[in-house]
Amino acid sequence: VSNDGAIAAYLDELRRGLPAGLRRRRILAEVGSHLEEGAERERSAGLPPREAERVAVARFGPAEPLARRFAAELADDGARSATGAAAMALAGILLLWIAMSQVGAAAPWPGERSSIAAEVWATWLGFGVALMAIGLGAALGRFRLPRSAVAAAAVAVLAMGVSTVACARMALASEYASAPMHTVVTLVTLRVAVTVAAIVAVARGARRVVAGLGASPRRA
Amino acid sequence: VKGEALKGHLDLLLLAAVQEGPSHGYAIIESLRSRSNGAFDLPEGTVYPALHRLESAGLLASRWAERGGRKRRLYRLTPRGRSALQRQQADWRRFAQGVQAVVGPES
Repeated sequence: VSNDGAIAAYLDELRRGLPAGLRRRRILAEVGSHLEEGAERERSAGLPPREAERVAVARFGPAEPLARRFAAELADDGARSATGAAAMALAGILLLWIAMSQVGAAAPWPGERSSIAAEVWATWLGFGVALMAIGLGAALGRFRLPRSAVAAAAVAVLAMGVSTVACARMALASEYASAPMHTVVTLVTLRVAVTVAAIVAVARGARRVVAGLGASPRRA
Repeated sequence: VKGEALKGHLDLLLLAAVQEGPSHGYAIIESLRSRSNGAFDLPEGTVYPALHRLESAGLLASRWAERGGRKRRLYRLTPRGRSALQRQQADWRRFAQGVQAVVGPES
């Protein structure tokens, strides 16, 4: 493919319409391969190289609407991965919470210890809000509303963050004194790590949504 | 057949086009064109966002393969994709029979 030919110009226009990232590289490679194959067939049929490229590009369709459709798909992907990350994090945090209740004498269920009631309720409220937000995010994603879906996923990780802070407060207040210190520290650290990983994953999903919709002002 | 008319059926057509085995975008378009006797002559770029969406939905899987010095992305049906294809084929047949019954035979 010549650098100043129709294929190079087309790929350049497509590149400008897509948010940067791994997926853009894949799309450009895939489209480039397709166009080269098309041009090669036209050359085999007797067209001169430049005309062969032009025909291959014309058959492919205009770059701008194609970039918009791809960008919209990327935004949907970002919302899906944000919601998925929030759901996985919630499952992980719930398991860690149950593990903590097994190792400590202070079983963290509402109503069992009045001294930690506020933290316990904050934690369960956080789980409840996170679960509802994840469900809402999944539903919004299904209706192809990536901005709203990723916002719901952000609410979910925020709620998990609040519950993790409440859990860490309980641990700092020696509510798990009967459990081995290193076990409590490990479980709380894991919980914080899962929460931070979820925040990072949702932020990355949100960035893909913003980049996708930014490149795609209206849905194709 | 105009691209707009095919929009609602593109997923079914793409899943059906790869059911025989892994295939790349160019071959999928050729297959649609030849199996429809030229009726489905879409702008070629149309199929790629749809292929990517089907992959994101877990109905297709893809990988790079090199042949004759050219790298191509090969798509294949996943087990979920196969089930979705069977379901969509059944829906389509019911729909087509209904339309045919209303429209009637060619006069």
